[in-house]
Amino acid sequence: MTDQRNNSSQSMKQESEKPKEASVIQLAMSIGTAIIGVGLLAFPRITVNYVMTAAPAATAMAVLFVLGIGILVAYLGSQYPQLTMFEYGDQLLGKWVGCIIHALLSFYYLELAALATREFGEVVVTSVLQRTPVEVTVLTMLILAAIASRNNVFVVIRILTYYMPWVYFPVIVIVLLTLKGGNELNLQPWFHITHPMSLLKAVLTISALFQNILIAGMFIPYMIHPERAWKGILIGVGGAGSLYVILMLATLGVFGTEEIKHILWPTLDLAKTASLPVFFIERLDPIFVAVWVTAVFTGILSSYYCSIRGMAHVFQLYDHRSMSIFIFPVIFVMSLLPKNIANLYTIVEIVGQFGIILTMGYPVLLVLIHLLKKVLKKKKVLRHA
Amino acid sequence: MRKWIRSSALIAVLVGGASLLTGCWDRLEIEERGTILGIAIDPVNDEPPKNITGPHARGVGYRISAQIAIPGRIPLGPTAGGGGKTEQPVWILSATGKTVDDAMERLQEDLADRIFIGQMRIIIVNEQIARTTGMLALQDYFRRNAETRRLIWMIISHGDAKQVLQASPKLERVPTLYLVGTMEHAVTLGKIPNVFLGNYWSTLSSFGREPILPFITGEDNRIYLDGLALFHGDKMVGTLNTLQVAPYMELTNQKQAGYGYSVPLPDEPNQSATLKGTIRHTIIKLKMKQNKPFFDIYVIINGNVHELTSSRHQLSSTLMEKLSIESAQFLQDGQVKFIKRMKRLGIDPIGLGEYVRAQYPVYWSHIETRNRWDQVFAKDATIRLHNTFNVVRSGLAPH
Repeated sequence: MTDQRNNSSQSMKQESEKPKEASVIQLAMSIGTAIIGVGLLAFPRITVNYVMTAAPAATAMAVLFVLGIGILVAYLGSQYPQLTMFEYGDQLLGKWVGCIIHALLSFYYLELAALATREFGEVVVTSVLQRTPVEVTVLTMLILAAIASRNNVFVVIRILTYYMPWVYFPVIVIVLLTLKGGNELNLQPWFHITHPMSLLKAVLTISALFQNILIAGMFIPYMIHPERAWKGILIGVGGAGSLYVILMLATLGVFGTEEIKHILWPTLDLAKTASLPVFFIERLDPIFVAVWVTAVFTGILSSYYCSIRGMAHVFQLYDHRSMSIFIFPVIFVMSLLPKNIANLYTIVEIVGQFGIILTMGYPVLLVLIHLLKKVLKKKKVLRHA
Repeated sequence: MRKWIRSSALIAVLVGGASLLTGCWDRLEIEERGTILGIAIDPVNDEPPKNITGPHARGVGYRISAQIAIPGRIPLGPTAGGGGKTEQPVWILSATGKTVDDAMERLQEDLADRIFIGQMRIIIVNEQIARTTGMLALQDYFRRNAETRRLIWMIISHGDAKQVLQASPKLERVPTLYLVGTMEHAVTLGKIPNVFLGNYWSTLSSFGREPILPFITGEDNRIYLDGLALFHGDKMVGTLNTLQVAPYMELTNQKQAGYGYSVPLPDEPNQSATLKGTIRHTIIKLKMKQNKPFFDIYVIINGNVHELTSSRHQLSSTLMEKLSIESAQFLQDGQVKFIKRMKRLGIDPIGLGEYVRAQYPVYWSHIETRNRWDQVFAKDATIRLHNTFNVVRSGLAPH
């Protein structure tokens, strides 16, 4: 029965008439979950290293920047309510350019998923399963993501939606439990920038955490009301952004800049500082790691999904399922490429800062071309008249 | 046929996945764990430390004593019926090494089970180490180990640290738990600030505040909380006795007030009144005057009368006001003395430097290190104290 429905939805996709089932709330929740990913643990340290106590401000700026990009994605979605991002990308850019850019994007998301998986593996091996080989944790996570990404788009949306409370609420509880250890002096001065370049780099690095936002371009044509997608994107990005800002404030308030520089994963140590006022659970960091694993899973699933949808589009495949298995060994090898943890974080930062040009620049480029075409069309019409 | 292939592939993936998810590499039964409850770190004085990590290990050498829980002997909850078991629930092992890790490795050699420090509650460091080699080299091992909790106690011991670890008072069957209980109760009673390891680390990393740690003595099965150890960076430079801790608590805005003190009764120099603070609030305001930091510290304390040695006085608000003024004066004198001593030592345990860093970032950019701030604190900083004491209650006696 369900098979039939899947098949029918797949075949319907070929004709540009897409089934419309997703609601605005679903879009908001799935974007909110897709954005929260593996970067949760290290980003306070990376940001503080760039801008010291201006880190929360830099985080907020990055959120605003991504909100702007999100509006652009929503605008494109409302202009092409029947098409996914790759499909209208082809229309706007032309077959060849579109093909190249989409291949780049797909490969980039593949790299993102690979790096996220490796980072996940490193955290697990360092802090929880110390004798388990990193290949095993990486492989486990990749299998999970690969299987989940084979589903049709509504199932992916439902998976992301389902995990949203599991990711958000425990994080907020842990932050609340650590607040009494915080010191507002650690947060000041709010905005004292000595090097504007480092502020730019910080904002770019944090924006890189939000790159999964392009998954919205894959979801919007399946919404009941694609023209209301902007609401969903604003809520989703706003929610995820607030979570990042809250975490930044909490880690900075509890540790202060100098201590954060000494901690590889400040958010994990924040969980270590939290203690329930009840006697039987004294440590909360295992709970936090468990929650974080779901966040990692949803993040990797989103990147993986973006990547295989893009590749399926570039190779003009009937559906994206076969890509999921085909790409699996590639991503596994890619995730094992960084030599050590220092190397991993260097790569993560470089890939994040440069990749942002690709992922955030792409919607901007599309909107510009779209507007240009619109203007030209208008002129043409006027001339004919 | 195709269906058959698909389902068998699915089963293979599921079985493979399930076997990966069990995490067999890290399986460790609880009785195969060498659960360390507390660690004492002493210097090695008599013999050169043995080491097993090779000839390149550099370090002054430590003797590490670990209190290890014996599985099955740790009482869980109240012991039923008073069966009269006198077996020790813990075992204390010692090993020496050039560095902390070196010593821990040697400890592991002596212990059959794998060392696990995730349940460790306390680290006791000998004063001699804290004063000479400092804490930096010593804490790195614990910082790197993911098992270490941030909410444990780090304590400086006067004399042998092992002795403190061994002290087994009658109140609690597990010595470490007694020690932890002592510290936690001291915090709730307002005797010492709540300086757990994570807190100490944060202060140690910051540039505008000197860390402190609890200071303790262990003597024939008893533990004395002596006050606080003062640090300059990672090196211990002095101590605060229990009376001197009070001004520290007042100036650093520790809400819980726990020290009683006596002031002479008005009009009766031979009699005294004992008062005790209940709740305090401290506000530190910073201004810059002629490019020098200028602090106004407002301390507001509510307190109660605990004892009068004379019964000639009737309960009156004039008496209470007089006592309030006397108390404020008394506390202020203590604080002035405290600040003078800190300036002489050239350290800033109150964290005034953090206010400068937070509120005058441009000025701070000329300082930016701990040593330079300490110089500025000792020479340039002006501190004005404003104490307000409110006597609120006086117990059941109407006089």
